[in-house]
Amino acid sequence: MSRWALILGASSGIGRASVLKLAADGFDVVGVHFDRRAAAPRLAALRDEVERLGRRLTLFNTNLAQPDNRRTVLDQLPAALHGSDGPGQVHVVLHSVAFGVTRPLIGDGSASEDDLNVTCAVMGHDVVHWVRGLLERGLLASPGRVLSLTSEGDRRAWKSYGPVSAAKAILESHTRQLAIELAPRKITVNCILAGVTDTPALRVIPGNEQIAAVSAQRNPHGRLTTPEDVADVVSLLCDPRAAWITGSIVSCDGGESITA
Amino acid sequence: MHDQTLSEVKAIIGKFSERRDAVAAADASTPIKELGVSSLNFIEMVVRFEETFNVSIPDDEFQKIATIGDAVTAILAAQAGSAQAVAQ
Repeated sequence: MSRWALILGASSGIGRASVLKLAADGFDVVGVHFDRRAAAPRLAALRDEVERLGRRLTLFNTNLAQPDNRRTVLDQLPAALHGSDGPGQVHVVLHSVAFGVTRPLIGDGSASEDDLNVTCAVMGHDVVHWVRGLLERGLLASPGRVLSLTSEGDRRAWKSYGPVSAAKAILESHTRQLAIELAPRKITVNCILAGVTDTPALRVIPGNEQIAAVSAQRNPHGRLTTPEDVADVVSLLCDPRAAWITGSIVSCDGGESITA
Repeated sequence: MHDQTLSEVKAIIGKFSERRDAVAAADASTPIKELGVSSLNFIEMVVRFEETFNVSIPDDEFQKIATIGDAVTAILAAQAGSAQAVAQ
């Protein structure tokens, strides 16, 4: 029977690397992304790579900042998951959506009320809405995995990172709460704390070059985290032997966060 | 500046703006961000340009969009690019 992974934020960075990793692990993948048309060749190449691995990739291009779009995707999922072996379910949910504002909280150019609300909604609360929407439709498999991504900015104050930092704190709280509430269904919930990773999401953060340089120097491995490093941990947490790891913030940073 | 494209671009911007009166009064030189279009809405607005005009705006042209006129220029260039591709 098909095993499906639902990857939110599938077209670049850690989401994209995880599409390929989980496809190599035998998962068919539904990916949700939000891109302009210029991304079409890149997405076609991603689909080709997944198909070369013998798996399927179904993509939805939509803006998850609009709750109606999430509901539209959820409503279309049963058809997308239906294969030759009948109705399918999602065994892995990976929330890897980077859609938020990196601005100061105070002064000129600061984040507006709307900026803060949207950032916390998309990067913080959204995972809860996906889990609920999947469960309501009978689409979340048991046993299953719910994974999301946080960063060291959850506990450190980087200039302009305030709105995303708040969203990450929300996300980590939801990770613990969902872990408790989903345990009876044998669904684990974990949040991966990736080191500073060179992705398109990093490159839009003001001062990203300095953040990257400092992180590479501070990391005991002398380099940044790669999307593939994180995708490997996604894969590990999807292994049946990871069934007892839940409610955890799992560091995947080569030791960066413990280095003084 | 192509008047019809300008007017359609302004209509789309109006849907993403918190200051629709300012959009109505704006001209090609007006920066889009001064019209109350948030950075989070900016990408969706450009996606709407692409759908409406049936064009693909390349990444380097997208990065240059600051004013309404920049958006019109990017759309017209993308239309010219597609016409050239069809002719070939």
